[in-house]
Amino acid sequence: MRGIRRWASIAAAVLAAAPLGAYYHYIHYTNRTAPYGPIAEKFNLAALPNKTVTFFVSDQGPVQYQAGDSFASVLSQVQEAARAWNSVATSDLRVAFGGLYTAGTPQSTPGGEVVFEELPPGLLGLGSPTGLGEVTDGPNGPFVPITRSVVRLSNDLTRRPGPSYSEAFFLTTLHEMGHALGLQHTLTSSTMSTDVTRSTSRAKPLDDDDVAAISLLYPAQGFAAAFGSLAGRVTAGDQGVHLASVVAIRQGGAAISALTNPDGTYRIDGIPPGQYLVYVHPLPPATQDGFGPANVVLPVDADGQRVPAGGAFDTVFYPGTRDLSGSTPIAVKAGKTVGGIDFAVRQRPYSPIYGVTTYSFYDQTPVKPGYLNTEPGWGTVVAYGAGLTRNGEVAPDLGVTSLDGSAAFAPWSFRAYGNPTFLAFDLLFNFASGTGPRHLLFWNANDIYVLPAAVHLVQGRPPSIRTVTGGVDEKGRRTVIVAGAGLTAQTKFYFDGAPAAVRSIDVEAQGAVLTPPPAPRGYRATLTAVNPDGQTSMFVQAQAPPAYTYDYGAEPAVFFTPAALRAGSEGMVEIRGINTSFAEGSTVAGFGSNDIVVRRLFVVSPDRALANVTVSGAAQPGWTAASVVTGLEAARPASGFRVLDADSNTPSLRLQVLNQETGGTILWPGVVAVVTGSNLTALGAPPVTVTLRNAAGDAESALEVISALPDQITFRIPEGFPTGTAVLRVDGGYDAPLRLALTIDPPPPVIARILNGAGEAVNTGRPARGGDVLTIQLTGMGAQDQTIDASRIRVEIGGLSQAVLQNGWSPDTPGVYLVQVKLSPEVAAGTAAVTVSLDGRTSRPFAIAVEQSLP
Amino acid sequence: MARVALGVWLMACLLAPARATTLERLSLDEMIVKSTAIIRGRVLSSQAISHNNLVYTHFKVQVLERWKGPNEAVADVAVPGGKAGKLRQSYAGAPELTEGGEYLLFLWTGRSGLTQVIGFSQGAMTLAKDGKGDLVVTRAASRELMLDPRTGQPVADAAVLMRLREMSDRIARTLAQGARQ
Repeated sequence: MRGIRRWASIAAAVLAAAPLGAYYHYIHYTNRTAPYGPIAEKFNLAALPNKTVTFFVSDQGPVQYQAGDSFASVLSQVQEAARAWNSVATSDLRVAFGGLYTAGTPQSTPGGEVVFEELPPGLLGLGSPTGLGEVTDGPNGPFVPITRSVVRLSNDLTRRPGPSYSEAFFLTTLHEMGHALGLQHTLTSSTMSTDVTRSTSRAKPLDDDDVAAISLLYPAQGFAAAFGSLAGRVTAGDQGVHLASVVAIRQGGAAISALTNPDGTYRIDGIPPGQYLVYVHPLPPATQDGFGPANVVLPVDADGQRVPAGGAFDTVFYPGTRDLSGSTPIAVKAGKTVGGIDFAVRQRPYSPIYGVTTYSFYDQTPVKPGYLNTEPGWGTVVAYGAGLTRNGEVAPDLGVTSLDGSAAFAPWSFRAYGNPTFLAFDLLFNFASGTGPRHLLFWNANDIYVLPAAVHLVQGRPPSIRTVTGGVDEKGRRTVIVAGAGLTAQTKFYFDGAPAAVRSIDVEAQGAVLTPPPAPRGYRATLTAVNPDGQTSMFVQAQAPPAYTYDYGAEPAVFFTPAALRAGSEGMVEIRGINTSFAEGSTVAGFGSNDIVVRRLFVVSPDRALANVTVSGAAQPGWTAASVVTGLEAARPASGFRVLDADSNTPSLRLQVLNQETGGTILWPGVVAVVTGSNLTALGAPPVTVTLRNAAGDAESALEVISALPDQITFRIPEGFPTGTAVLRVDGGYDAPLRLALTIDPPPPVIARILNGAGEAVNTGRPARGGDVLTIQLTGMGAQDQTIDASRIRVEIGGLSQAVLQNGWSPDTPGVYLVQVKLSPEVAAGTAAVTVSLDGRTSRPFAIAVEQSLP
Repeated sequence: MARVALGVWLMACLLAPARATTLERLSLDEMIVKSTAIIRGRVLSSQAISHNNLVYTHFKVQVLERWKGPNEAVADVAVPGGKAGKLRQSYAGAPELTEGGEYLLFLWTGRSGLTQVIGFSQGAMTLAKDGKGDLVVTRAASRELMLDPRTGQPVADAAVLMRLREMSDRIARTLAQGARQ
């Protein structure tokens, strides 16, 4: 009993002390015995510009392509992979595509690289974080900082996973990028699973386990509160089992897992609230002695030695049964941890069933995992894995079922065939089968095996594209019209890896009108249609995919001015293009190094953009590979970009211009603004002049300089200056004027009056009370014909946010906008300041009298 | 039965699957043919080197027996990953060679001149002595999805377990067949 209490206290200590529970990551232990506190390798968000890991792609791209493939296609897929990892809202880490770089460029700022190299036969891609291996303290606990990460792909795209426009290449890049961000393999069929069981798609690139993995490593505020956790211990006899996989799986839904610590303790975090079955299973065997199972990189202890994994054992559902009907579901709630989910397992020499891959067929094309159309009422699954067959026959006592009963196994349909031997079986569907991923349970007389998302139930065939026709709309803009089959209202289209804007889809006519991503004349892009159920046109058209050849445009060229900046400086680089198609939100400008950060890119026109850039003080002087990428259009300045030596005596500006009144960064005509820097004035130097010129170039003003100090200049933006992008130019007799781009916003709204429910003005004689409905009359809310969504409006009274009840233009008074709120009883009595913000532009405070609320 | 027959026919006509892998299965014969060197060797030393932020661990392997490749006393075998100075990279599935350990290695030297283990861990086989003192070659079966590069069909990856002299005969036979073709 004392031993049990001791283990319980140790387990509790581990749970309390462990900075990281779920094992998806590269792990270090600082001690050699329990209690174990796993410490993960991850990027230091504080060392990243805007908490962003930027992946640059080597300008020494692949050397061999299949017909129809290209480097622009490769770049588009890397960009989409970065976008996928960046889309995780519960992760505080941002991931970006930075354009091209030249291998060997010295860089100090953490980031990522995608390189192409000659990989030996049998190896198609790999990814890894690079770190110093030293434990550092962070705001979320100790960690081992990743300094750089690398994704290594084959330079021969005639081999798998090429061609680059394929879903296989995209998922491989996405998977390897996950490794580079600090994630290891899991076995929940997510993107970070190996391709034996991976079940994600371009339609849904990241599964719940991927989201949990990256969020656990880089939790955003609110992550822990939005998800639940499970914790417990896996033992065999009285010994903890190391690297046992514990999975929380929801029937027809998420599967989230974690691996146990050396003492068998585990914790699964990031579980969406709901009802889950929990099971524990051993990982598949390693491919080489000394490896971790499932080729997981084993954790290292305080001596840097690998900590070996435990052996095979029986797979069981909680509380310890192979019988699905005897399993106990666990309710997971947001922000709560369910502890004590312990497993006592029986060790065995090997796992009979493991590593199962499932397929289905579309005509002659096998697809992995299986996609089954439920409309015929049945579908055939082909599976391959250890323990499913024996000596060319179906393994004895083998059975299969769906975890949620949505598909019934047809027992007469089991058959084995082929060499090597595959297993085929049919699943039967009914009206309640539904659609989406379904988990399968395989069993024999003495083992069970759960395959999450083994098959995807769909209704209908995959999309296909029959014809592709280029055109021009009534405004002269290029369009591409596709006709096909299996198209839905939510079908997406990709030109190589670049998404096309869908202008319209006619489901009845099975056609769509697309805006193609930019590309130069003669570029041939392979088209793929992707349905939200995961089916793609490549299921049926992989051998002869449709393509579109651009019959317009020309080879793009770009020019950077200036073409150099000093280390430790900030400034604006103007990018001029010829035959370019710059577009806000699509164009990426990069300077070939994580030490040069584009703080913001302002796209002025298809051939002009302004980049506000920061050059790290640690940036090494020399040339870097700059580039500008828009869709499938990539261009590089002929001479590259140069980092000059740092010079603390050179005048320089900081990019941030502050509104002197609000202290914020929103500027509008008439306000006084402050820009900081260094060496801006000097004795004997000409007086500082500040000009503002709008991006269109038709408005330029010499600004009133209110004060000029060596480290700060205060000036006024003239009333009536056009809103939009503008260039601020500061000159004080410098070798070259200093410039930065900024946005002139419309003035904020102005509160004219605030009325109570009776339509009377709120004042000291008629104070407001909690619960009163107040109507705020505003001017400066924009054009009268604009509809303003309430989500753009924020009202604060007495520092407390108030919910908007109604909003709209006054029917009685042109130019006046009305916002109605219910005064919160929590607003303190006395004089309260009312502010209204539209798109972050906040009005001046308007004072009202507030009386104590009636009980 | 009709469905089974159709399935068999389909499998025989398999085209490249819509999705692919990061490891590609190589049969023993393919490793023999595709390798630029096949050696039995003992690891003398290792050193991790970083070049352009890519870490390779270079193993010096004393060549004890050679079936294919250049006639050299010591082979330099590079494996991705390792700890170079303060930089550390780890790649799942990278072969791990222990100093003093004896291995059967299927190696591949590319145009860059770098010699690597073919197929990642597939081409590294441990050597140990059985009860009779004979050297036995072992490698656990890989559970990575393996595709036959010719047909794109998923294939089984069987554990390799045979006496070294049987392996030697197999290598010689395969090489001879290749020479005759």
